[in-house]
Amino acid sequence: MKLLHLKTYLVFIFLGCQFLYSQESYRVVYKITEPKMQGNMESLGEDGKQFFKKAFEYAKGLKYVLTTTQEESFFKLEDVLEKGDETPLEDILLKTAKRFTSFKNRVYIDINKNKIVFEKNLINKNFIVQRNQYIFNWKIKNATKKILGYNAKLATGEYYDEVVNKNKEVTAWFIPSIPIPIGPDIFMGLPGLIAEVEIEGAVVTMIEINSSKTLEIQKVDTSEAISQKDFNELIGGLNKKLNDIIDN
Amino acid sequence: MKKVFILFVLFFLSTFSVPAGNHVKEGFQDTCFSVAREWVISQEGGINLDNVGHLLELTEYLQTTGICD
Repeated sequence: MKLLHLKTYLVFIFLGCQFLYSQESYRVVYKITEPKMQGNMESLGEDGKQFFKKAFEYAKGLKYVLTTTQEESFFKLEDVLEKGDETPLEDILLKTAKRFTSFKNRVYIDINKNKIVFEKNLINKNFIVQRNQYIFNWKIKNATKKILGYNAKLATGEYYDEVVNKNKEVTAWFIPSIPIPIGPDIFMGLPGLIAEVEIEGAVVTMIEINSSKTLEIQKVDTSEAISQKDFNELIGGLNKKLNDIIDN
Repeated sequence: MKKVFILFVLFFLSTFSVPAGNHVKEGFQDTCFSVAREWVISQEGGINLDNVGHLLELTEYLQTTGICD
């Protein structure tokens, strides 16, 4: 009988914890912890080398902010770097540094409705796209490591990047004890908050996390959004023309 | 090939009605374009729709600094 009571208590405690987590919202700050310098600087003069080294260092200072609940999330570059009054040098350093991640400008995700709305800049014009969430075919591995004191598990995935028309690999470390299936940029779908992603150009890591019950999740205005189909047609046509030019 | 490529991008810039401040100046000088292109290709594996805008901005900036001709 006592055992039965104990089991009942444990079930209530477990459900209580799940309820508490479901009410929680988080503000998570990510940073580019490892920009990958793949660019060839051999043929550059000293000034050119200095410029790209500066861009590399600038990338290490880039921070992104994710606000999320169990239902929705919003992700963007930290505000201080987009104040709009940068010098021409700061402006181009920021743009060059942002290429290490190639993240979308802003990303809103409605977790339960399989909806993602993002703003993407293509050839100096911003497009807002509303589409289904990306599919990553995550494979969870046995490896673990600590990130900000949390136990994180390793997962690897692959997704199709329609803009460059190719499959890309991603490695993620997620925190099972924070059961929110969200992460930086478009990355999501793991049984826990993604604390770190490694993509082609950079490693992006959570450096700060705060929980709250009152965080407001921003949205991306969809009044001028184009559909996934229209976006695919747009970039398909542009990619074909671009490839024709490059090939010829 | 470079000039055709630049014309292509300029065409699309105008098609997209980019704000005047963002238009790329005429008169690219091959050296700066080459520097920027080499950087983008080696850093990102090739020129694509995602980085072609940055390639042009980078070229334009390098031209203004005198880093290349």
